[in-house]
Amino acid sequence: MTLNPENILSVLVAPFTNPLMVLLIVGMIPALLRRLPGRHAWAVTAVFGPPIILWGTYHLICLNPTAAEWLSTLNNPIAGAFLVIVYPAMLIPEGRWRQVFLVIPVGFVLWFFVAIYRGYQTVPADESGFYWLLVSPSWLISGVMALLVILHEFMDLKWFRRTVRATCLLVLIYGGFALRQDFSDYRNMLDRRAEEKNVMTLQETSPVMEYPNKMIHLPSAPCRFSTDGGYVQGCNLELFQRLLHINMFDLGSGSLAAMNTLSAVLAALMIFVAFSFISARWCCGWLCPLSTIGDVLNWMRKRLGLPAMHPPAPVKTGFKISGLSLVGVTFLMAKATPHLGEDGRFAGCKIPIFPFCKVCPGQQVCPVAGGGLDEYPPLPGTEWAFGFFRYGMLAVLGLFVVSFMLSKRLWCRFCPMGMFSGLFNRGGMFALQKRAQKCDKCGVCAEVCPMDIETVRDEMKHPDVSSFDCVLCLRCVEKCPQTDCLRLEHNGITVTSSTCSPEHLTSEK
Amino acid sequence: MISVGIDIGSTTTKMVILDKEQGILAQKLVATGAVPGETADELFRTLLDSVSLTPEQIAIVATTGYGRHLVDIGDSVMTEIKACAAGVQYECMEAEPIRTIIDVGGQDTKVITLTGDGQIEDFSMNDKCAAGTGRFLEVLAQKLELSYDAFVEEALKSDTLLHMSSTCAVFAESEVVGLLARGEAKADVAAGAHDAIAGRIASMIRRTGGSSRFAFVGGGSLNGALLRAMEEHLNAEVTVPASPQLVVALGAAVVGAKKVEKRDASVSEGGG
Amino acid sequence: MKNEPQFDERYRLSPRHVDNPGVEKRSRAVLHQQQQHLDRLRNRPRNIAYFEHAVRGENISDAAPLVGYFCNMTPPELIRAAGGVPVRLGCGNAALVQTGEEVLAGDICPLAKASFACVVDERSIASRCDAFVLPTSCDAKTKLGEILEDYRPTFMIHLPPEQNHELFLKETVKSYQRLEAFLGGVTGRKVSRKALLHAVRQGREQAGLVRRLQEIRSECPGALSVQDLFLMIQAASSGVDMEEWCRECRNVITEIEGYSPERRRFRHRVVLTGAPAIWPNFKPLSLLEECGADVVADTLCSGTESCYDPVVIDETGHKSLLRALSLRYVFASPCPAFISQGKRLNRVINLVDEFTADAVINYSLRLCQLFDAETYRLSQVLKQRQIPFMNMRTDYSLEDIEQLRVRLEAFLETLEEI
Ligand code: SF4
Ligand code: SF4
Ligand code: SF4
Repeated sequence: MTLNPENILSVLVAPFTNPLMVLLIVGMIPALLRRLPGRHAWAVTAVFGPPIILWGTYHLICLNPTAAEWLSTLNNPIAGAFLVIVYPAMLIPEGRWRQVFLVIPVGFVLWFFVAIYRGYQTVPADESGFYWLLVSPSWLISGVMALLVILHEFMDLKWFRRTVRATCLLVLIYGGFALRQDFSDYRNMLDRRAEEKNVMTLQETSPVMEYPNKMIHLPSAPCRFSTDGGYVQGCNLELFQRLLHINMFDLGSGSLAAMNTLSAVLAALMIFVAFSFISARWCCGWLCPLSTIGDVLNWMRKRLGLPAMHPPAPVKTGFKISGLSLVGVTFLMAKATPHLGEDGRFAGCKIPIFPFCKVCPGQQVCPVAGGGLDEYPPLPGTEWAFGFFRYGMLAVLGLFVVSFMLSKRLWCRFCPMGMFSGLFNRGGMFALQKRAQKCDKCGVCAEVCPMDIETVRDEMKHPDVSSFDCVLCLRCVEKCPQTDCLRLEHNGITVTSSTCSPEHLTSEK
Repeated sequence: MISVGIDIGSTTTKMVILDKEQGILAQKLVATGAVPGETADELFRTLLDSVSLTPEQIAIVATTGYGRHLVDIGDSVMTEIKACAAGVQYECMEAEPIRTIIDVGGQDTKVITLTGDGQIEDFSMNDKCAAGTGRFLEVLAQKLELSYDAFVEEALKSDTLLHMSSTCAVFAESEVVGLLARGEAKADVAAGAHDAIAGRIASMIRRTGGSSRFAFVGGGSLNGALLRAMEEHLNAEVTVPASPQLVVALGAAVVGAKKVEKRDASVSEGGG
Repeated sequence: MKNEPQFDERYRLSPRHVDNPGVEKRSRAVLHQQQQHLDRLRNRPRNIAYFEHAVRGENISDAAPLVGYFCNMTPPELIRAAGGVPVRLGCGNAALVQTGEEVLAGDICPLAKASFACVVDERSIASRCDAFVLPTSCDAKTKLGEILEDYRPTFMIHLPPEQNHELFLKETVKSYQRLEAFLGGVTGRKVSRKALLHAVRQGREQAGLVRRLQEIRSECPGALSVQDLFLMIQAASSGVDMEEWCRECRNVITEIEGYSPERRRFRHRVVLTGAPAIWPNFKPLSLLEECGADVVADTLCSGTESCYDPVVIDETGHKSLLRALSLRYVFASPCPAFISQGKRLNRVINLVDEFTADAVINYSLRLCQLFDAETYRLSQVLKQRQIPFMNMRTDYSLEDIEQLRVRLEAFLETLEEI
């Protein structure tokens, strides 16, 4: 395949031709247009919508075989589950239709059990035992989504949030080794654990512990570098680093390999952007294992009756800046990757391939939850500045614990991952809305907000009270004493709203 | 269709017999007396007799005024505010609609503002004391040892502005004594009193959001000096209907007639 | 300066003995008259007698020290947590105003005067209190504190002027901490975190019950007269045992839940706002009902406002609970004692919306400057939003009842189309 402009274009365009992407883009159009006055919106959709679809399909079918491949690799049940379970569950209001709809998630859950059963069917007859969940992670995740949707019917906001968080924590932390596609995959994992480690390989960027005969890797599903896991594409920072790894000179000289990497990374990033657009910082409030662990710590603080610290505004800005500078420095280091010498050094320094991952809090915290302090490898003599092995890690861990114990979410203030999704808090599909007419400015929302956000209380003119820091934990919606005052909207449709019903108040005791 | 409106006020009781086509058939004003119910009965009978009608020919009797709940001949009861608005609109049906009605009675003063199409928009009444009511002027007339009519005459004669700060009947008495002792002319004092009261009513109008055109009804509107002072304060012409004391009773009859029509309409609708 | 007493002890006066058989007789007549009004109501809950006795101070739970308090800004939860029994001091007896005038002469509101008279009247609950707590919510109360100090230990809660700043929240929490110390001195018990949490939970239950009552009344106002509602609410702060009150209130709810009106109701639904109507001054309430209006919601601090919103428990530390109390009782308060009228306006507009009311009536108590001063903005804002509004400016006396009746009826007439 020779390189011509046509091909460059098609490689760049390939990611967009994924049907999921097309769907997302088409879905985003009305969301964006909601901000335009009525009739314009429809006109724009009518003019631009069909061409985008046609354009995508044209490239997909006629021009680019790579795109066809993407189609097959990205077509996984998670997207489907999202579209047919989670989204409708959010948007269908209480009533008969909702009950009818619940048939779908119930079906998914049943299918999930069938899938596990089938997974165990593949185990050779001479082996028997417990092999965790032998099911494709995509199916597992769809099953979990469906299960949560069903549970939601029986829970109030508070318990639902707790359930979601506990479930996500389990899936994300143990998912790395507990989820195996099938028996042979399970075997592969065990084999991988016995591999010789090499400090500079990808696998090695995750903390690895050496038991006499095997290695246990970071048991965290969303992290691509977990040898055990890596199923779920969950981290934008990894993608950005990958993007920086691409040598621009190679790209300029038309290296097909570099081009393909770029295309792949772009596709993943696009999905990530789209996902952020859809869910804003929702993951921070409900999914992120760090903040779930943090919430447990926070709960302990509450039980002890200790007051929470509310950092003043300049300190908050300071956190934000330090978080961002961390990203800046580590990304610069990542930029040096293509220029590393034979010995893995650049300008005399040893530089890890994914420098940010070396400081990622997930890498310090998750192993503790996965297997205790023993999970940490010993401190090797040849460490680079950002390699937080045992003692360094313990310090970070201590910082983590302290920051969650002192204030509700001190950590999240400098988490770059969260900041990225936060960009979509305003202008994304989720919007926290307030009916100012119902609001007494009692300040309860500001009091309960783990991010110390005051916008919700103070904004009285504009109904949209979302703000950059908001992690969409919905604590404010849960606690607001005025029925229907606060509500979460997704693309203009109410997902949930504050209730303070008599039943709720009198049944507490 | 003939309807009757009776306005049982605290000092006088008024009655109007209204025919839909021919207009006002008869009207009368008597003192209320000690038993409002009896007075109203009596008035009702004599006035009907005078135009030789029998009670069966009357479609509706609407009562209003303070005594509206005390008499039992009424078929429909309404407040004088509503009746007054209806009465004034009936009387002053001219090109430009009335937007503000000023009703100065013996014991109270009311301001009613109307929307362009004649609905009551807002109204206010004086607080519980006599300040700003006709009673205030009566008290002052006595103090000046003038009859009420002479008091008004005097006021009309004056052309100097004498500022009186008090609109409370009790305090004004002592203020008047002071003014007379200072050697002010009775005419000026009388004019000052009218001015003070007009000022107070005008501020009430402003608070209620009144605007031109103005109508002035009730016993107070017979007082030329007060009318003049009001016009000055409002800087606008003020219309006084033909029989300003009877407009409330008239209004009751008008609203009563409307009610009958409305009921008939709904009955025929229901039947058809 | 840390533990200085709030008042100068050198100028303390000895308590004044008041003996005025005339006033006493008239005050009984006022009570009797109000009782007659209540008796004339149709469709009262079967156990309403419990609440009637309670507001007359006949159901006081014994043993614990009574702490008399004024205003919604004093959290009764704190008093309960300190082991005291909260008794709300406001009094609406027209006859007692005269007694109050002996000490609080001049243009001071009848509420302050009558309430003072209660304190010196040996038969009232107020005179049996062991201590008093007052916020500095208006000039009358600010000055009343020192007078009451002559009779019993009194604590003044310093209220912030503003409700929109963290600074004032901290101040309020400090004031409440001082109040805790004061209450501890009275009852001999320190306010513990657990006791406070328990009291707050109880308060939330009460809020839930009142919300339920309002829900039912909003659906069919005939189920419970607003006078009975006020009676029930005010009974809760008359020294009764909270558990018992909740039980009785539940009974009322079960009873009126079963109420079904014979036909549709065409009465006008109004929202009542303004100054407190306190037993036995239910004049604005009974007048409104007599003129054919249903009060479906109110912002009166002697009415649903006092317990409609729950204290929100998030953190359960001692200080956090105090913050929660401050947020509920001071920061969300629509009382005109604060510089901005926004909260009350917002509340009123929302209630009109939520309870589908046709109009708003403002009860402006003569001689209460704060409520008077708020009337202008209230009327203008409602006018802008085309919500019919009437101001009912009056005091405790009954002499202007006929005048008010005309105005009210005329106002209600304007709401109709004819
Ligand atoms: S900000 Fe970071 S640590 Fe906090 S919840 Fe979001 S992703 Fe997790
Ligand atoms: S908790 Fe609700 S009522 Fe209170 S300030 Fe926040 S949004 Fe307003
Ligand atoms: S504003 Fe509300 S949803 Fe957002 S972080 Fe704060 S409490 Fe959570």
